[in-house]
Amino acid sequence: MNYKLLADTAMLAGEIMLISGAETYRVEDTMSRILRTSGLEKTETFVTPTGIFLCLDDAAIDGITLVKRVDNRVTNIAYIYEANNVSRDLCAGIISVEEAYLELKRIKTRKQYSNYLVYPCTIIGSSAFTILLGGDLLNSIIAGLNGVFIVLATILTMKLNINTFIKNLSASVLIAFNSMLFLHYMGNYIQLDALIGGSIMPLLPGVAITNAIRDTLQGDYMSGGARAIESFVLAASSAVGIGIGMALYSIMAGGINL
Amino acid sequence: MMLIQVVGAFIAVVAFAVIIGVPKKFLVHAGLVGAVGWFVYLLLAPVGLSIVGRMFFAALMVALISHSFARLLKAPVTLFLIAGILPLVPGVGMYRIVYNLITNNNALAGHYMNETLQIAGMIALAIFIMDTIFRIFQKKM
Repeated sequence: MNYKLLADTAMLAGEIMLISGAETYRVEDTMSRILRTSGLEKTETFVTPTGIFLCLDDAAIDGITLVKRVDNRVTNIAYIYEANNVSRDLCAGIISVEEAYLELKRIKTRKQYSNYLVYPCTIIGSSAFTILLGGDLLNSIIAGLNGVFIVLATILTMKLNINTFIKNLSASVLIAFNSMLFLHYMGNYIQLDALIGGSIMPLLPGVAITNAIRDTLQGDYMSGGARAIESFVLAASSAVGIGIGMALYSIMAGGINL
Repeated sequence: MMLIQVVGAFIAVVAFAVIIGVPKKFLVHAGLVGAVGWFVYLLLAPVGLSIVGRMFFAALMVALISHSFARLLKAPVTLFLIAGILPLVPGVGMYRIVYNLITNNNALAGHYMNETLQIAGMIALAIFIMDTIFRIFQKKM
């Protein structure tokens, strides 16, 4: 058996899953399963939200150790699902290590949804979340307009390569400012709670929150803590953005009643 | 009115599922998880539970259905859980905290801060419980 290739395969699978937003314990579990197909005595994996370590050792071979620094995470749940399937097939003996490696390489090049679908979904998301929170049709349309601001902020920060914190902040400022504008001119019809609360929903770090909880339950406190901080910071950036937007509008409009 | 909100939840969760890249064949399932979770939350409104309590049962339902789908469809739980739990995440609570802070209403801001933290804790607790139950169940099989 080609142990080097096996280690590479495990590392690749782990990297894909970690980048795509899998829970840390799931990444470790999948990598360990792949490594254990070698039947070697020592198979260790250690995964943090920012890096992967793996070790494959036995008296019969020279030990293999790989380290991979992971930055630039892009959530893509489909990749987790596909990498999971490949590892399942590999462990069940349906495909060989070589096939698994090539299949994993192929996952990375595949694109699930184009941006022309993701952007409208952001707008629809803002609208629908406003309805979910009890907003009426008018408010959900305005929330859709707010969704456009999220899309604009996303495109802009992607072009300039700025981090998510600034993206959330700027989008929230625009959302709050726009909502206040509508509140000023159409006061009675606006449900500010549902409007702003719904509009910022697509910005909330759903992946980080869920993973923070599930990693902590697994006893993976380092990853759990890191994810908890991540979700708190991202949520706070939206909150601060809303504050700035509302304050800005009330100053510009000469101190209207919020 | 309740039905409209549940439909809104379905559409919202499907849209969010597309954003985070859930595979096409699981989009409807993810939407269902979110819609049922929000339905439970609305359904419990007349019972007299606090918002925090209602959130707990809604999150419990979301986690239950997510785990069931994961077992039935042989897919990771996160596929359904991440998108499905999102409607319960207290976005409005966050807005209310900020709103009351900048209007110098510190008492109310503190109240909502408290409530938002409690809701977050309840969601975590619900996911904890369901994860544990399904792990026991899995070992026995």
